[in-house]
Amino acid sequence: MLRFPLPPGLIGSLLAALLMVGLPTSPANGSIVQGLELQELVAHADRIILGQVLFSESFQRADGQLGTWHRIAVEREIRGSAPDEQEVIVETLGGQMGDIAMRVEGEPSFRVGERVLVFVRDGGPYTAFRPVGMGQGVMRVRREQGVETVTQSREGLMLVRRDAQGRLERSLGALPKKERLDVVLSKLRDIVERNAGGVDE
Amino acid sequence: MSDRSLHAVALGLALCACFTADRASAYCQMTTQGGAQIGGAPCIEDGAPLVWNNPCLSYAVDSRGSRWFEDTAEATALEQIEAVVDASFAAWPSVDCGGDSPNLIFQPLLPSTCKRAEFNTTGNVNTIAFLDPWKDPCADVDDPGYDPMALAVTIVWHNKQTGAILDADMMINDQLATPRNAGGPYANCPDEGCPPGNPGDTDLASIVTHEAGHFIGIGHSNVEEATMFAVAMRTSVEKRTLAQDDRDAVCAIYPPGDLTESCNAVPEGGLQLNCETTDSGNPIACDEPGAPPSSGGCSAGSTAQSPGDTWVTLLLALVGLTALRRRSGRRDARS
Repeated sequence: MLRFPLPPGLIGSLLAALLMVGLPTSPANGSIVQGLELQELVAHADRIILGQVLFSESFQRADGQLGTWHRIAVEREIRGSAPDEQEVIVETLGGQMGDIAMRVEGEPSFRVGERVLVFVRDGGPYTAFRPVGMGQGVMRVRREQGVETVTQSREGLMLVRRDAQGRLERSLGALPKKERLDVVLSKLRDIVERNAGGVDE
Repeated sequence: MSDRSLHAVALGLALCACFTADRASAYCQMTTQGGAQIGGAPCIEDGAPLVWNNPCLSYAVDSRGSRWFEDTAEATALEQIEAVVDASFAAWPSVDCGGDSPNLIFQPLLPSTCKRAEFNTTGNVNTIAFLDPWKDPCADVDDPGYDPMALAVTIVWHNKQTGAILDADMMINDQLATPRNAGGPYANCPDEGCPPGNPGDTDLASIVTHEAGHFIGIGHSNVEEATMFAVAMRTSVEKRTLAQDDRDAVCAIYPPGDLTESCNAVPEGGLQLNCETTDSGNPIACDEPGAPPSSGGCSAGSTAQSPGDTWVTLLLALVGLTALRRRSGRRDARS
């Protein structure tokens, strides 16, 4: 085995380089949206679903804009009225048709195959569900070292809220940092039970 | 390799790392693949960056203005809004990029009649509209509309292959803010900040300046002082003023060039200030305007003009000059 012992000063320099590369950065922003705490996110959601993204397809809406439908296989329903439903359709603004694309900063994106925890509101009789608070209503599930975690999607969002004087101020949103999935689900069940008196699972 | 060489390499690595970290921690440019940026992820650099190929741009404020502005002795409500919007947009091209301006020009037009965020083959306007109810007028009756928690959204149409921006529309939520939805009231707040209230005024200039950044393809920044900062808005009026990071963004994306005030700011497909009624006053049905160009049907973001565009260009120049003269005249009269 070849080894290249490094002088102490060099190790320091390389360490500094690695530290600087690893500086944390913030998520994207875009649309200016009122930040929602976890309780508010639940309160605004008609359904809360843990599921897997099966398919995404863009289309042209009645208003001429582009939208995208995402088919999500329901794995578990934390709030909702159709526990036997296998799939739900979630609609996001923006999409692509041919060479043309439409983008709305702040709308969440989904990747086929990923698992997500989504907070959605009823889209009315002719439309699909919509994420609550744009990207705030989508949390991505990851498995890291055998532990399932969730991270709130804040892509393209600037989160604000009003302080006691009515002025806009910073909002950290519902999930400021990554958390264990089971912990978040437990919190959600508590909130749903407290507010609505029952949990659909 | 000698120790000195190794130190030099390490120093180089450290400098590169510093540059990379600084770049990653600052502004981002929107891209065709812009999507999730989870946790501490840096800018997404997949896909083509979104940019106006012809950065000679026009915009128009919808003539119906906002419910939160009222006529005064000095100016109509619409004039007040236009003044705020003009100042907010002007912040970007007036940046100093090392002694020169970015290659970016905004030509404010006379008011539009367009609350629809659409892109057509038959004519367009980059419209800035206040919506109450908070939904596109052409949306289905049952469509829930834009997200109720959003104060403003900027809708950017672009070519998904090249990233060339084709059209951008800024929609502002004109509803009264309640616990169930975001919204106004909006105001042109004094420099010391908006007065408190319940709900208090929101500074319109801060919102428009931020959204104008997206209008030209700038994504997020995690520099806290930046107008394009990710999650903070600590005081109501600070986003009006561009920070160094915002200036870096616009100078990098639109480096100094040779655009002049007489440049061609005709929107893709031609200018159509009124997207709701025809010249004869008949309403344009929501499904009537030309559909977005199909694959290959549009030279994205190009400055190519259709035969009739020469006249449109002349008209636009006249309209733009008239609008500018009218607005600057108003300001001179007030000052």
